[in-house]
Amino acid sequence: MISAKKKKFKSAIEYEILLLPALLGFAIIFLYPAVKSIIYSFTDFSVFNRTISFIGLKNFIDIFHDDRLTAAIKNSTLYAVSFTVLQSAFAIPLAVALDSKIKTRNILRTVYYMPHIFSALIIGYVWSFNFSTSSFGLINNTLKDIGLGFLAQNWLGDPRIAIYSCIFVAVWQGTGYAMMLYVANLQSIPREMYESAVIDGASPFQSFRHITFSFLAPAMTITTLTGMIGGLKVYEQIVALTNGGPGYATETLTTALMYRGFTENRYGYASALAVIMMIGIMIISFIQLQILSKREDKLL
Amino acid sequence: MKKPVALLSSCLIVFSVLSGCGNGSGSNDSTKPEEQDKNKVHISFETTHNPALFAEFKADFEKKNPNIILDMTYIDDNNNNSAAKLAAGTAPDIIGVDANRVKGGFALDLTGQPFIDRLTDTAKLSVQEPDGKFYKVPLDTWFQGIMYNKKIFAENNIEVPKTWDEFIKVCEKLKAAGIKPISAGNKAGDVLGKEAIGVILSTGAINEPDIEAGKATYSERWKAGLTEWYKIVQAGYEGTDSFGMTVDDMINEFLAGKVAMIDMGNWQVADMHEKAPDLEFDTMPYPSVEAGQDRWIVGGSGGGFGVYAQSKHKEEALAFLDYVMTPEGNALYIKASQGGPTVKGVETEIDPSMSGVSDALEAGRVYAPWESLKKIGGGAFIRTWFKINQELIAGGKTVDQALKELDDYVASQLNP
Repeated sequence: MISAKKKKFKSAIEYEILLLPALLGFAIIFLYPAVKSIIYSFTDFSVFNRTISFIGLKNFIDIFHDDRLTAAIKNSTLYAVSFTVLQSAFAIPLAVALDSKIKTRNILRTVYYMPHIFSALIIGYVWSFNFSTSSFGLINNTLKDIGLGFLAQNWLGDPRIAIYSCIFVAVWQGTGYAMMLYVANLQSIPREMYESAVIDGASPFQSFRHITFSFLAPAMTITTLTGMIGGLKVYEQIVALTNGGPGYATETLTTALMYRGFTENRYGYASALAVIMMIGIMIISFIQLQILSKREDKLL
Repeated sequence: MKKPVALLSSCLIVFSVLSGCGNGSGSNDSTKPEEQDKNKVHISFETTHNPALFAEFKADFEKKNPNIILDMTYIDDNNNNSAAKLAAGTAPDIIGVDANRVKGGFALDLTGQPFIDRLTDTAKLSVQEPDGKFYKVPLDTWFQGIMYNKKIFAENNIEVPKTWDEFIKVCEKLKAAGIKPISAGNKAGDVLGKEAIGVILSTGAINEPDIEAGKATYSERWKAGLTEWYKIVQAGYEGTDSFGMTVDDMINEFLAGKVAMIDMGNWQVADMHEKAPDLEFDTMPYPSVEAGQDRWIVGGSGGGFGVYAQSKHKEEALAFLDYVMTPEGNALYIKASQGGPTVKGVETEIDPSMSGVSDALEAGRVYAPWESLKKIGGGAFIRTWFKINQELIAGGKTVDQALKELDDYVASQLNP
């Protein structure tokens, strides 16, 4: 009995040891900086300030009185929610279409997935050129050439629409990735479900609504969760497209964080913002997971 | 049959990879330079110029300092990137130095270095700290004004405007002739942010010592100039369209002859000549607010460069500064940067495309307010101004509100 227990313990330890390198990496790369950041958030730490003083909750209180940060929170929320919803809204129909037996489906899947391969920074710079209001701007010039000049816009320069242009680029780049997740999920739905639905007289829309849409719950959980987290911490793309401008019109939590940290050299303040962001993302992700898991449980 | 073939191919691939990794004992001669390089010290220097233009400068420096290799890397935002690297302890050996970096102990004290005395009087004054110490030297001076297409101006009988009112009239005339008057790649806010300062300078340039001493505010000192500059936004020649364009977009439009004027400076001139050798252009100083006032150009010593105090190659970095502070080194540096000299005894001829600002240069009417700040970080100050100026252009703020925000920022930095 003891020997069996010992054996079990030994084998468990062996597995734990295998996990050690990954845990060590996680601790060094994530845990240590995160804990340090939490500590810094209660100080006036700046790389140019040699004496670090503990200032309690001052950084956190200041954040809630900072008008620019309120705008950044609003922009980040708008960006994350719109991106998450639109990404799935485009990806699901695309996945359904490309799960059918059309001949070009593999080529099309590759084409739609392709933007996801590139860095957000590169995509941002490419779209910055496309959106440019200069004589060489691709979109506005194309619109003018085809007689639709009245649709030309100051895509990234108009403070009222700049954030929507950024959301468009994010959806353009992220839809292919979500589509692949949905395609994989679609292939796991038993065909018999559709056959019995047809026998029961269900219309294609009813089949989609009650079978496809319901059974896509696992992919939807991953897509919406990663979409929301990615949207809330978007940085590279905004830097490449607008750098948070014009003025502060497309400032997001992360661009504001970098500005406060590395331009204004207020590391303690920026750390406090990072802590708020981390807690916010954790709460939102937790709520999302609760709701979406319940939806998944219904399938069982 | 397939297995042996696969095995053979795998062996060949592995062999070829391994042979590539080997020491190559049979080809000793070809690896010699690499081995020699291994014994040399690499020093890093990040620049906002195109490093390819500095080939002659680099070669001469390395010839005179055979144990050093100069690694010049292009960087589009010196302040933010370097700040992050300073925080991480991985800053380049040669760093841009401002008040914050001196305060933070990141810049090596250069006081007493022999090359300090080779600086011109104005260059020396621009980098001397209030306590008389030196932590940086300017490698060149930079300046910018309004570049104009000479052919377009001549064809439309346009004289170089002297006041901002005249400038707006030139824009009207060009627009009436179907020509885009001015283009601004103001996505980062720098182009029009500096243009506004250029106009403001004519109303009294040097305010920073008073402002840092709490004796004046930007709301008082900049109001007349900024109100006048803002007229071009009200007239519709500069506006939010500029936020959708990068500096490259703007320059390309100018080089293609699609626009008559742009705000630009010496650091782009060499590249511009290379891209459009036939384009004839000149540069004018910023028009003044009122007739009879001095016209200024925006510029300075680029803040100055020093040695990263934690650098492992301080001696070599000092050798680099020493070289740039020789007349030969400085001449080769500014040949590439198209800037002005900072060392005594350097004779340079200004590029014909910037001859229009030579009077202002000779009279010393060159100023960049943020480079004169001694108590607060100039880099962060100017970026804050660029953002505020964008909000002014977009209509989100009035002139008074914009200047108040700038004053608030200065106060927050002086009394954190």
